Amino acid sequence: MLELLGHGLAAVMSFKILFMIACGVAAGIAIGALPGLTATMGVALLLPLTFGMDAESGILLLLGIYAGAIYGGSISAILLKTPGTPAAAATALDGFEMSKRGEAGRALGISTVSSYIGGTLSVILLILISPQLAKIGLKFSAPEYFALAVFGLSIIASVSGKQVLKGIIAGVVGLLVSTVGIDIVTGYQRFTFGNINLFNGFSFIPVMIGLFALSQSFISLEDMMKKISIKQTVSRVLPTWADLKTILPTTIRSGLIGTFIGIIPGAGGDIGAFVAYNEAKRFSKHPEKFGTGIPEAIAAPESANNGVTGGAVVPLLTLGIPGDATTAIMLGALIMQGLQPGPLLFRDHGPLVYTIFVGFLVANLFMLILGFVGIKWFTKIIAIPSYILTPVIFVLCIVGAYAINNNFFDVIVMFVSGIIGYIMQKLEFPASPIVLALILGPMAERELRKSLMMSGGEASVLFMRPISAALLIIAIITFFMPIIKILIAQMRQRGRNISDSNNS
Amino acid sequence: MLFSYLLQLHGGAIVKKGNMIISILFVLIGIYILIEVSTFPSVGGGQITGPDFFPRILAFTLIGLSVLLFISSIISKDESTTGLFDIYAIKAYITMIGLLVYMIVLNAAGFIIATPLFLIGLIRFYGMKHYPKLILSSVLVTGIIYSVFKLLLAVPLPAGILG
Repeated sequence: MLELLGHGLAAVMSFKILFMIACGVAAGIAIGALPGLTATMGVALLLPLTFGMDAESGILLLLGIYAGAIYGGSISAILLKTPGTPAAAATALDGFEMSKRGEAGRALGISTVSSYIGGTLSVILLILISPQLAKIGLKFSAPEYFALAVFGLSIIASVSGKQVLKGIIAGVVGLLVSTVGIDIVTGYQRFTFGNINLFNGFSFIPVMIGLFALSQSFISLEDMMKKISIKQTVSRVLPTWADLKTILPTTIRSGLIGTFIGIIPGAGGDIGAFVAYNEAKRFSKHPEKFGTGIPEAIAAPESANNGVTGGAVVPLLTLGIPGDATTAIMLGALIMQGLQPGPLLFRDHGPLVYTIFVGFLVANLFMLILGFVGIKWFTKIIAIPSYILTPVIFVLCIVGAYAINNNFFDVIVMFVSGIIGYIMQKLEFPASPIVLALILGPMAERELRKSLMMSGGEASVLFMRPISAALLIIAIITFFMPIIKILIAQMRQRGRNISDSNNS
Repeated sequence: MLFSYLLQLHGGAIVKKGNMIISILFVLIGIYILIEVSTFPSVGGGQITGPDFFPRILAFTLIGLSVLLFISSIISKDESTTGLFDIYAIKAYITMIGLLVYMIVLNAAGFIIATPLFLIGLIRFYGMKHYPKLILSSVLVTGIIYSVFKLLLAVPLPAGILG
């Protein structure tokens, strides 16, 4: 492993790759800082930039955007109380309180250091865990892969929030859409209507640009007229020794929490940040001060959400299952580069994988440096009026969809997905189940049918093998847990209502 | 003004109604898929792993879940509206039409011609009235995207008549 890491280090130390990482991180921080632009949107919008690049530069550019955007979200959370990305929602609680007291610089400094520590910790864990997980993955055959895909899909219930039924319906629709195209097993054309562009099915990058970037911009038109003004002046950003000492234990604990939440497919930075915030409060000697703008309360969510970035890459690289929506787009990016993420990636493209690891560490370092040096510049970006920004996003959506295959069919797919995404959002259908289903659907179908062929049609094969049985059982628990929770909550509510009406 | 009047007349679009419409739509899609799938060839004498295997299970699931959504929408007392017919939403619809026009012009005339026109139109529509600024920022943005994508990174852009 050390040898491979050395190789990775040598590969990253080229001007071109370092430049790409720096550009990615800078763009990411700006994207994250702009309210309304999330990390997922940023990666989706700038993905076309990587089409002409080699795999290393392209992937590291995207990872730089990812890490930068998750950190950048804290800038607007602290200065405006508007989280730049959902992952920074917990940071807004104490971050804004501190900046209201005139200590915006202190809050930003704490967030910068915490993001760096959380992110770096998570990449170190990524380097330690992934090869082991990939080794286990190498032993997988069809039933295990099917179980893995089902496990990924089972997350749908928990990413759907309150709309579990709608989330599951969206997932089923996504699975149906994923069956469009030539059937891999028999070569039969399904639902292609003779359209040559559909022979390989819908390519999911245009769908994702539509669902996450275009529809989001349609929604943001509604509050376009809000004026953004920053009252706080940012002075000293470098945190003091006293602050560093206070936050260090919280930062390390939160970084670890974030990493492990990141590894769970489907759970992203927003969940990681809130869990870490609550844990920091529980561990604190003075939990009552949380919410008043104390250093630990900023450090916890910021360290955790950047911890998620490294964690989410673990299942992406080792098993080919994205850890969150942003890594789902990176999965697309890897496939566009001709790389199939999964255990074989470690065996066949070891040097590339370790270059990504080292580059990711460097990206976190650049994030720290740019955070301290460029913070004044990034706070200015927040003030870009959205009536200019939104049209530019529209152009980038279209250009990006076109660039994938140089054809307008993908642009139309992107446009229609954007409109569907807009209507879905208005009808309270969550969008991420569709993406999960589109990515994991073909894998689930292919491996299920392969398993059934292996066993001669006996479905029991899925439960006879220990790993696949265990994964399927975890999947079933993961799937039903949110549903059971909601049912229990409803019953309690009903019980309370009855007792209330009895009392009155 | 007319819009807001129509809106009151319409009474907004209630999520509950939207749910019922969408569940009927999904049931119809499910039935269509079941019909379509029945025409698929059965490979190897009706083995369970033909091309129809997976879509058929999904279509049944979709129909089942949509019926469930329909029933739960009837029971639901939720009176919230979707906002699909709000004044704000109309801005989104006009933007969608603008995008469609942009896509057509883009295909015919190419990126360098279509993009500044689209940006000028849209930014003006969103409320910027200062014309020199408006034109300058539109041209500037087009120039930046063109140089970064096409010149710097060799990412293809629609060339249209100039190609």
